[in-house]
Parts: sequence; C-alpha cells; structure tokens
Amino acid sequence: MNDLHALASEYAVGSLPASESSEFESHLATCPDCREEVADMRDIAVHLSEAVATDPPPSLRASVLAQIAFTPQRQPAPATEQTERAMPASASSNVVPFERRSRATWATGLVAAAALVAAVALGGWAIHSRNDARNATATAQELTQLLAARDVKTTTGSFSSSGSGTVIVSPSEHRALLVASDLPALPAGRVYEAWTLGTSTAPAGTFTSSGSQTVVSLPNHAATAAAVAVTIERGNGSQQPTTTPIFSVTLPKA
Amino acid sequence: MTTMVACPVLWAAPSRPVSLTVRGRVGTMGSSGSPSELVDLLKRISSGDQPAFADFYDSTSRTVFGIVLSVVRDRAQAEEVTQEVYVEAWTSAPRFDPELGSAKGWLNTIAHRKAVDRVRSSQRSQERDQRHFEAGPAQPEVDTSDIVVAYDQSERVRAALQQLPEAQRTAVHMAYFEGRSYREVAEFLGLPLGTVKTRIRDAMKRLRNQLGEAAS
Repeated sequence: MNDLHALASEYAVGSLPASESSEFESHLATCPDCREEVADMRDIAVHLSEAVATDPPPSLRASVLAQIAFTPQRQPAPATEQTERAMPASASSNVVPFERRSRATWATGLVAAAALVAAVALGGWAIHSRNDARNATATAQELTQLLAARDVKTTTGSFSSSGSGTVIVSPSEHRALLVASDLPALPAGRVYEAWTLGTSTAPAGTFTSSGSQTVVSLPNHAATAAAVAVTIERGNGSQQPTTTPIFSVTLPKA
Repeated sequence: MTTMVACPVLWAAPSRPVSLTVRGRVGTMGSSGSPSELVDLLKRISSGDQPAFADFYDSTSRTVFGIVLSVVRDRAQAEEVTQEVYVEAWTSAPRFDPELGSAKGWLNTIAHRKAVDRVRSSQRSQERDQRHFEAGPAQPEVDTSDIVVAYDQSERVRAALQQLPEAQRTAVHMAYFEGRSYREVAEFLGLPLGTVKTRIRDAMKRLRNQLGEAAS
C-alpha cells in the first residue's frame, strides 16, 4: 500500500488517469492519513489556481445564477457516504437525481420558462408585489418554486403600449406571477394595475415599471382565474378598472 | 531527453513592474471569502439560498475561471466549463463536509476536474494541444493585464513556483496548469513514469513548505 499512499499529490492535482483515480479513492475510504494529505494538497492546488486568476465575463455570472435558479440540489449524503463527500469529483457525483418529480415533468416547466428566468436574471431584479414591497429574495424563490411546480403553465401576451408580459400559474401551488418586460415608466400619479377575470373582475395588485423586467406577485386566486389583464389607473389604483386594458391573456384551464 | 517545450514562462519574473490595477472586487479565493465565510455560505446554499450562491460565486469565480481557462485554453469553452462547475457546486453543496477539506479545495477540485474532462477526449485534446502550440510556450491565453490578482498571494505563489527546480516546475505545469495525466507528461518529456510522479510529488511538497502556512 506504500505506493498508494504516495499518490496523494498526483491525485490532488488531478493527474491520475481515471482507473488509478478510482483505485486511489477506494484506498482513501480506509486511510485517514491520505484523506488529510489530499485535503492539504488540494489547498496547495488552490494557490496554484490563484496564480492564474482571471476575471470571467460579467454575462457568465447572470447565466450561472439563472441556471441554478431552476436546478434541483442533491440531498445531503447519508453518513455511510463520508468518503464520497470528500471526493466531489468522483464519477457518482455527476449524477443529479430528480427526487421530487420526473425529469420529463421538470423539463416541461423548465423549457417553458428558462428563457424567462434568464431574462429576469439578466435584467436585474425589479420586483413588485401587490400590496407591499417584499424583498427580492422571497420573490426570486417564489419564481423558482413556481417554475418547478408539476403543473406550471406560462402564457405570454403583448402590452398595447409596448413590452410583453408572461403570466406563470400553478393551480396546485395556488400561485401566480406576472413577469412584464420593457414596460414604459408611467407619469407621476399613475400606476399599472393587474386584474383577474372570471366570474367577476377583481383587483390583483398595482405596480410600476422598474427596468427591463418587472415581476408581479399575483394573489392566489389568479392561479384559477380565466384571464389576467392590466390597466393604467390613477393614484394607488382602484377597485374596478376605469380604463381599457393594455394587456390581457386568457389562461389555460387547469 | 527531449527539449523543454513547455518552458513555463507563465511565472517567470515580470519583465516590467506589475501594475496593481484592482478592478472591482478583488475576488480571488485568497483575498475575499475567508474559509469560514465560504463554509457559512455553503451551508446557506445547501438550503437553496440563491443570494448566498451569488456571494459564493463572487468570492471564487476569478480563481475558478482562471484555472479552467488555463487548462482548456479557449475562452468560450472556459465559460461553458465554469458554468458547469458552478452548477455542480450548487447541486452538490448539500454534500459538502467541512470536516473533510476546505471549501476552496472542494470547489477547485471540481473546477480542475471538469476542465480536464473537457480536454481529455482525444479530439479535444488535439485541439487543445494546437492551442497551446499556437499560443507559444505555456503562456496563459489571457493578457497579463487581465490577471488582476490579489497581489501578495499571487506573487507569493509565482515566486514559490519560480524557486522550484526547472524539472519539477515543468512537471507541475504540465500536470496542473495544462491538465495532463502524468502518463502524458512522461510521454511528452520522454521520461519514465516514476520520474514524473516523483517530480510532481516533490514539487507539491516544496510548495506546501513555502505556501502551507498560508493555506487557510
């Protein structure tokens, strides 16, 4: 086993071929000294990497954050997988289980909304909720959760002014969001107001445009509404629409 | 023995003074994001905390992108691989165990491994070799003015590398910065396998002696 003990450096700099790598990993499972040695050598490798540190393009950050927003995480390893946890690069760590739902269902929501999430991430978070300004984190998580729902549906339409809007609903989660793109800013004293249409028309929150993306958290009943519309209203909004809708989409039946 | 094709001028003494332009955040692993901060971030990331992940990215991405670019030698591919690295970090964060090594070491291992995976298939490896060839001996593809590093740490590392015997430096360069297996290094340099292993091992031990106390 002396030969194996000596491989910690080569393993830590990643120069072992795959077959020897797995052999050494089996050895690591039973050799605390080697685990410590590898951890040490990996810290030295970090220093080597620091010598070539290079700024990634800013667009990469947005792209990474958009992708992780709809990527499920693995579960913590059971205690018996200690060694595997120490070895993140082992082959099995590339297997990402889809634990809550099938890959196909996940993919449906993902494909429908991936571009949208990317757009939101790239545009910065311009978040509005219907009554109060909740923090961006909560809404970002809300969006992520919603997109992961098994019955998520997205419907897109245009604003007659300019810009477009997408309504994302999940009846099972009782949640709905409106994501509006490139909405013009309104003059002072005017707000956008969302409405849900069904057996009756109900106010669904006021918002203003901030930047290229505006995310509006709609009330729960919007998830089962027949349609969502937006008007421009005075002051802090009204209880009934007083102008012609500049946006409306019919939602798919649940 | 063959000539030292891969003469590592990467860490040769700069021919002109290195200007200390610091653009934006000085975000190497060494200078921001202390080990305990990164562990805390990973803990939060494990429960799906996306803003924590953004901080984690900001603290580590220069080093990750740097080593990935060093291995794959192509900016577009380096961006793809870096994205894969962070997606892997996101999905695997719940399995990170601080008892078993540092957060930086964990992430850096993922980064190096994915970069190597990218170039080890034979066709890609040929393309990569071609890029190394075209780029000249062991120069990073980046303009040195882009290497905005945390000065002290990076200079210490470069100095330590420069103090290695040339044979060791070449072995580490080819194995780590170019991502070659020690067999490839041996073949390339026309040396016995055992010699290359010994050189890598000795080099890493020397580096540990010089840099170890800073390996926090």
